[in-house]
Amino acid sequence: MEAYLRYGSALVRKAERILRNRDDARDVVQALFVELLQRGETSFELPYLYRAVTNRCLNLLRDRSTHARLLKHSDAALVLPARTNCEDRVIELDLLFKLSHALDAEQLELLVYRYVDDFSQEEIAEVMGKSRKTIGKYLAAVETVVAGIAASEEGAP
Amino acid sequence: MNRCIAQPLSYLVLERRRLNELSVADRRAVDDHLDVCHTCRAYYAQTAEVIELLPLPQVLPRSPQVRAAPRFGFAFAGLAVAAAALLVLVVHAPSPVGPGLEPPASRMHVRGGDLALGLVRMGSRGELLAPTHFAVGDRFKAQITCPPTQLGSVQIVVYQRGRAFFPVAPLPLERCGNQLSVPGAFAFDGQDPALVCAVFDDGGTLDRRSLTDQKSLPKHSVCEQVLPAGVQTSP
Repeated sequence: MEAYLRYGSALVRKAERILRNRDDARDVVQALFVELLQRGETSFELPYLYRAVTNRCLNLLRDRSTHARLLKHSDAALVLPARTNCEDRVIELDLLFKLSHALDAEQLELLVYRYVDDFSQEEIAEVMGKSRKTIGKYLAAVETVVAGIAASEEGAP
Repeated sequence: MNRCIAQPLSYLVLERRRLNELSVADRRAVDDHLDVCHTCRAYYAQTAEVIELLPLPQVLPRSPQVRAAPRFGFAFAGLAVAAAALLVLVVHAPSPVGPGLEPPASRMHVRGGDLALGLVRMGSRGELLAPTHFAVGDRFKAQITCPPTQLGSVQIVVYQRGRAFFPVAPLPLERCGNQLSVPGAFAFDGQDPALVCAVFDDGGTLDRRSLTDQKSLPKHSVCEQVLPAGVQTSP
């Protein structure tokens, strides 16, 4: 499939920014294209595939049974740190796990675009099909949750 | 924290620049930024790597799903013969469903989103195959989709030869989402069609005894039919 060869590397990089390991990233991208083939779909654009990969990775993070394995195989050196921070924190895998149970699906998706993929608010609005205003509200809510987690960690013994 | 001189160029923009998918104006703007921002230039350099991908198996597009139909109650028992005849025309195989009753569809809308069941079929050599059929040595995994508001648990039930099988443990739904894998795999044997159903409860515990008869599947059930290899589905 032409799209797999064309976009595969970009999508694996995208998945590994979330999952922090290449093997799982490759699996996610392969499974996505298998599903698309089964549906008979052959024509795609990169933003659409980015969103599909994001949601598949987030499904893995929400699955508590995968946490230990992903953490064990995570390689922080695999990807460069994001250039956009949230409440002075870089969104790493362990924080993503916590957030995956504290945020709803759309908020979590938005968090990844903003603080893992360095999307601008306009890009997020376009990819998620929301207004810029809505994205601004979601971001404020996400930052509040991240700040709450940071505060609780600071208060922990 | 790596600092960009202004708004960082997103990975999507950088990848699209690498793939030459930007408009002339956008490409010029990106190139101007990269000329002066060494941080984004380092990120752009990453996009040059060609990553070895897993081989894509030969996959056949799924055949059309068996459509949901209103279930016939006892009051409509007289229609059973006609419905069974119709079913024979739709599927060239004995159906596991029984006369007068078609299985629930593989997707249904509920409050907050959809409930859906998908199957992943792996052949004896590890290759992915169309999950519409089964053969000896194939392993199947169930993937469920449910909205975040869905509570309770999901039970996978397989109906074949008039019997119910429970191949994997019930999965508590701590957090729903798209295409969640149900832990555990299962296989089929024999030459009879099978019906795989995901039965969602709404908070209570599902009693397996209540699921032994597929005619009394709970409302929130989604099913996929799987045929023995060589049996054709209708076009």
